[in-house]
Amino acid sequence: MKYLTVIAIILCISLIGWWLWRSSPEREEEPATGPKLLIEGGEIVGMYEGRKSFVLKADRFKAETETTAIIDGKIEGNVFDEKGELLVSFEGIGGEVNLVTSDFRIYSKGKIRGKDFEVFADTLNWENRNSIFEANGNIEVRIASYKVRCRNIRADLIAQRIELSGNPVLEF
Amino acid sequence: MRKLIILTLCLVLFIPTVIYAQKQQTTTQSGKLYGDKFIYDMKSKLLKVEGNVRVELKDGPKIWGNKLDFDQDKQIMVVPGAVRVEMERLKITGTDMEAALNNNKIVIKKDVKILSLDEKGNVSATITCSKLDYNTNTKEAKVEQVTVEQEGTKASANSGIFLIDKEEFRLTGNVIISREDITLKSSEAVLNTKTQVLEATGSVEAEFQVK
Repeated sequence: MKYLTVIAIILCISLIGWWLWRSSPEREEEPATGPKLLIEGGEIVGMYEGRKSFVLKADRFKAETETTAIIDGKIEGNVFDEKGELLVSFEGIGGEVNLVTSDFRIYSKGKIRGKDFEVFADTLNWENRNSIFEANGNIEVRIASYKVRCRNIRADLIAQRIELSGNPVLEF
Repeated sequence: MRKLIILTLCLVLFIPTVIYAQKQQTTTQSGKLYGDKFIYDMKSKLLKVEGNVRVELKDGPKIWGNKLDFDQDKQIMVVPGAVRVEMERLKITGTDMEAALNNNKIVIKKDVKILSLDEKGNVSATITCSKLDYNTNTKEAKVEQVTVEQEGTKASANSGIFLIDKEEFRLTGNVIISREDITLKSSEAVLNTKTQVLEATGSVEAEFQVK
């Protein structure tokens, strides 16, 4: 009987502890893993691993499918790093955001600007998970004080590496 | 009052001269760089170019190689391995090149071979040397352990300066020139690759082979 009482008390304490932990504010703010999109006040906020990954402002949003949000008109926005500091800012005309992966694509007149570089391209793709962007078409890249023209670009902002191909020409 | 006017005039004349001189010092070579793939490291600010590398310097030589590293801060281009340089009437091949754009310098470090071409594009002289240091501004090339071969004439020396505009080779140190049955030894010599006129100076020793 004595043992049963002790076990019951331990169980009660454990239950109360579990209930308190579940309802605590820290529990509510626990980082959500994976990509997540919030559409609020004319902005798409891309979340990744619980942090604000990018903010995309556009003239008009229209969700076309369960997986893709189509954007009309002018797009502009910013991408942030893990510390919440500005990584790149971008703009363009028309695009889409993948609602599952939070990747986005700019259809035309893409422009992306980061520290020491600026890229003007026809189409632009942002891979949110890896902070990688790719662009194709007539591309003009300004790296530091130099200008490069090429057809393809792939920039890995985590590895701090920009690859240019498709007859790249650097003017110095 | 007069002194003040003179001082002002001096300053007005002096300041533009200083600004011009500074601009001249910081002038860098401009041009275009081509390749199959460019890889830019944002941390080191180093640009690596891979495959079919070609550099076209404005009003200067064209350079070909397989790889190139471009240091933006130092304004230095490095081409490891085989390199080919063409300018005016010269075709140069060698190994390991470094071009300092700030100093208008191109250095080929090993196995240098220079073909001097005539107006028709035929080889008029073949020059081999261990190292070449070319100034794109003055169009002078300093060479080490040099051998010049031209239609029956062979000259060798410890070092030399090739004045590309004049097509003239100034050889210095242990100069040995052989033409047909004559061997000349001197401390200095000047060879014009266009006119084929050879002038040996300093203490000249001549050896004749009597048949």
